Amino acid sequence: MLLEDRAIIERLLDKELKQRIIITPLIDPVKQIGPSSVDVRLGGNFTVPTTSRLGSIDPDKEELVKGYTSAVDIGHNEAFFLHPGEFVLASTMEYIRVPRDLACRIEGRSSWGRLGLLVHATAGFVDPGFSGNLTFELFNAGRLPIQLKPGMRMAQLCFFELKDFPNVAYDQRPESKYLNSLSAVGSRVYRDKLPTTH
Amino acid sequence: MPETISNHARLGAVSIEYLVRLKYVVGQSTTWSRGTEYQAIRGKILDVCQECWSKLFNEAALFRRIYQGKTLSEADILHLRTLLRTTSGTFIALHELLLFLPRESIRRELRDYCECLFRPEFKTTKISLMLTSLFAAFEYSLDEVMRFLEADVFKSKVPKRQVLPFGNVLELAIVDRSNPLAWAVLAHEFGHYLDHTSDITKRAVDQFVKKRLRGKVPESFITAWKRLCSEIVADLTGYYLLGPCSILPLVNMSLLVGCLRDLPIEYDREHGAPTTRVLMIRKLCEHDGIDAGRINPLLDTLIEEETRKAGELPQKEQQNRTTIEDFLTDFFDAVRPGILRELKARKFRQFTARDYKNAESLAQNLANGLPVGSCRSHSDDEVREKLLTPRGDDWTWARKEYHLLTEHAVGVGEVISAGWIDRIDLTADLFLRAFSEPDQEKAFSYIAKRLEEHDDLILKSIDMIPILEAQNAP
Repeated sequence: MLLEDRAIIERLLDKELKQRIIITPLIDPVKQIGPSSVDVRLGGNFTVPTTSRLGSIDPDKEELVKGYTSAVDIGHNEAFFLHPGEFVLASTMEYIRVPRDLACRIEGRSSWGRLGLLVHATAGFVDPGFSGNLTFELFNAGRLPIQLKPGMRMAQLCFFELKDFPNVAYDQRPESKYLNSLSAVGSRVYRDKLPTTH
Repeated sequence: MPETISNHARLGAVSIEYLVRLKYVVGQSTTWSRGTEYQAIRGKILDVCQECWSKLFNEAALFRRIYQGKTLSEADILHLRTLLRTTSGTFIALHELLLFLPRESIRRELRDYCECLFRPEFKTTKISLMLTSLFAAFEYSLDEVMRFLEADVFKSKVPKRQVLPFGNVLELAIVDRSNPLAWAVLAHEFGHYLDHTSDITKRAVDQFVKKRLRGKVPESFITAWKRLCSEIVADLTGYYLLGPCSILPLVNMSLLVGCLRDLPIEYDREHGAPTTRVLMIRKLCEHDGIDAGRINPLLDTLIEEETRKAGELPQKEQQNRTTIEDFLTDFFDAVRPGILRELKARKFRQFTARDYKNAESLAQNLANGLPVGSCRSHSDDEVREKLLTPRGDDWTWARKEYHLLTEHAVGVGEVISAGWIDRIDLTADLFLRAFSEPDQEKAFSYIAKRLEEHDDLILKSIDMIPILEAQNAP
């Protein structure tokens, strides 16, 4: 069941920390809270592909995968120029925590879509128990560069109630690769090959 | 977990944290990892750190007892002090060695931190920030350096006057690059910058002489008082901007250095002794109604350690120290009002008792793993009451009340204070768990990871503040 605005607010204010949806900082809730979603903003950390030293990506090789991207930080009064056809990672300004009995989806906003800006490539789903700053996979499918500035409302989160608590939430899985990330984190696909830990 | 831990536990925590941070900083340095030419040195430094850490971990049982709050025998205490002397000595020696090697630049968050804390003075002036020695981390003016050097080469090569001044530099220890709590020391250094550029000390000492002393005062006295006063200006600036936590980097550093000494830290000609500075901060807190109880354990550790050592000095030296202390206290009381008036006349945000209270609440959020760069003006109960109480079947009115959920930026001083409070609170748990790990690698990783997570949350909080302020600005 998709949570409506009132249910979202109830969860934002839940007395039990474990039950609480955390979206912080919520700067302008009047604009950010929609009928069944909450808008999230762009943070100042970007991760950009650096291809000059790589021929291809071998997903099993940690050094190659790590070497594929490098961090670019911009200040609050600066802009990041995303050129047509470019792909970069960025993160939400907000720190998000999804309770274990909810799941969440991150969706683009129509206003950006109309300019050709996609905010996620494949990973729009946020697991129960996730916490951290969410990563945007930004792609400019338009024909002109877009200036991205920290604080812009980039996407929206919607929350779904699970029928019951999962056996093992994201924060309880040792394999969770992006738990508590606080900035735009590059791929950790190389960890997929690690043996399962119990 | 014991509610309070002993001075030995605090001393251990300080020394071990410095060592862990150094090993971590050297291991993670991106400047070094680019080139293989530094690998030999890097490897050696890591080896020495490792050896020191092994010695500590061999005594895991002793450390567990310490962090469980158990009583130690005389022999245990002696052994612990020897261990900590080795740890502190190793750390200091290696850290100073780093000065001769390439080093990274400051983090972007440090600039944000300075802009938020020192505005608008920081934005409108040329102040550079750099990483340096543990002991030479201070503020200086490059123009004064040029004048001091008086070398012919500078006379002939100095650019035209219109491009001067070169500006001032604030320095921070290399090991503290990613440790925002240690950045509190820069508020003190910024006080020196203010003093450099506006002669606060000169006016304060002139007033002191005029009010207190009639007749001629020897120039050497004036010079000595100016030296002391300039440190008081810096300490007061730190306190004015950041509250009592501004003194904590000095306390940590004094505890670290104290591990190497049987004697108390001397009164130097500028700073007084660390204990007098702590007492001055306590006096200010009392005056401003700040109940700094949560950071007291760390302050008490320093005072008690230094008092214990001073008690072992010959009677005459003890008497001398008391005389100097009395003079410093009196001098501090005399110059304080004038200096504070000058600070108040500037456009800083003064740290208040309310900020400290807020920092205590924010510390709870940090303990829950949340960033603390923002907070709401209204309590949860108040917002729940207004937003979630039905007013009939129609809920469209609710949107008008959404603003109650608005979060606004907190001050950098609140973030740093929250960080210190939480860090002091988590000491026992951090080290007890680490020394309960089955092997030294896991124990080291545990401490490094928890410190990194803590730093990251505070860095993220600082990172948010300017964005929030820009968004909240009309």
